[in-house]
Amino acid sequence: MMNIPYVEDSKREEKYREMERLGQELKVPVPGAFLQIEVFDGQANRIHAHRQRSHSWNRNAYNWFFTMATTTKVLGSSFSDGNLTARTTNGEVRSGDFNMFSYDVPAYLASAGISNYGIVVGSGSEVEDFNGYKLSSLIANGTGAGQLTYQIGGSPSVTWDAPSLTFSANWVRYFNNNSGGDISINEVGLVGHFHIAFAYTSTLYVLVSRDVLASTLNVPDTGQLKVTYTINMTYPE
Amino acid sequence: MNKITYIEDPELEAKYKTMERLGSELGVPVPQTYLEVKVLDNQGRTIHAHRQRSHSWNRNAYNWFYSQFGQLQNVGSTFGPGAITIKDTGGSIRVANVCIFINTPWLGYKANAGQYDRGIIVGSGNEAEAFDCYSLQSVISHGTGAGQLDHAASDLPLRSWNDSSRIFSATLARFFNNNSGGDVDVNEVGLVAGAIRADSASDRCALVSRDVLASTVTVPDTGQLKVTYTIEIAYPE
Repeated sequence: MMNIPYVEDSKREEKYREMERLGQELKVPVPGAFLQIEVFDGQANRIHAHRQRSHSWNRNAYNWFFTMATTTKVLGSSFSDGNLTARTTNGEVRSGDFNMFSYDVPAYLASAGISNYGIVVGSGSEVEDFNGYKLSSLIANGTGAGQLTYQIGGSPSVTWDAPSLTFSANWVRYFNNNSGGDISINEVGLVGHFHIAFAYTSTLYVLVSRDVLASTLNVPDTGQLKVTYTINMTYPE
Repeated sequence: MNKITYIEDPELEAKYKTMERLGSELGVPVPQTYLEVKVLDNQGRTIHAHRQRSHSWNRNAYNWFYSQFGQLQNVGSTFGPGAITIKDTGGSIRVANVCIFINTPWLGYKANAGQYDRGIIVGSGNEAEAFDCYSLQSVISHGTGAGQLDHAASDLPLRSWNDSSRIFSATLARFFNNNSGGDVDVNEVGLVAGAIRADSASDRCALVSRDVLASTVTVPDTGQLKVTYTIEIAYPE
């Protein structure tokens, strides 16, 4: 299996393309996100591959973008309509005199063995929820039953496509299954470690996107899972 | 004259609305930006008032937003296609060795009284809008001399949530008083982020949007100009 099938619903894909085309024409920055998943068996044969749109920038991501573009701070104290807060992966709602950003270390960069930020995966299949702040059932790092070994989530590869005037950044992470059994994957998330203090003294983990897969993927024992998020933006002419 | 005339071209407006509707439907944060210009005479009567789309997020804005959303740093060193840098209002290119961010969020577009290098600024130039622009063509300086305007401190942004449209809005306003002894013509309006950081611990001033007005707006002697930017994002249902 060499080609990676693109599985996005064709009608939805048309809408994405129309929105992005209008963004380029009207000079409005519209972020795009794709998710690619590959599974390899113990002999490094690719046994599954697909690519799709990532559908689920959540409330954290919207609040982040809004406060960034308007350069304003957090508003309110709950994680709901009319408030501009961040909810961390441990459920804490952050409010007060701060904004959410990352600067020195990219927020999606994760060390080996770390399963609380960067690209993370889970076994839960609860429907996507705009107010979601964590995976439904995060798969922990390790070699025990139901665990995956999280590899380093390194710096992204960034490309510029001159004809389409599009930047693309690929964030990639590998997960090895040394658990002794198959592991089922149903959800994928992107968790940033953000500074969300006014004096950027603290770093907290914030889920900005969670996608539930169309069907369960099994990573066989001694197999490997590769997840790639591509975040792009098309610039005006 | 109390009515504010909305002057956006209907065809363009329809495109904006389509793009925004698609953003809401697809769960993609799409910023909507409006510009309102109002002129009062010395009796406090409104002699000009119009509202339009702000058309011109520029390369600085795209690079800033994309650097944050994609969590990217060290991408190129020029100010042009394929590079993610900031060009400050002095014309210096700031290589992004950190993810581009606003250091003091609340102050991002804030300007103190008399400051005309940040916040909402106005100018007399009417060169066509350019994606690579980094300064107004001819900024109107602060003062009471010929061709000058007295720059008031910018208001803190007002934010509001509309439950039915699911839109968060931030309104940024600034007043300019004409005590120059003559009329002052305004042709361009800009938004300068005054505390943006890309390459060091120093805050930089970076123009992120510049609109050339459809026709010259004249501020009479002892009159007042009010410029309002409204930045909105529609949240998904």
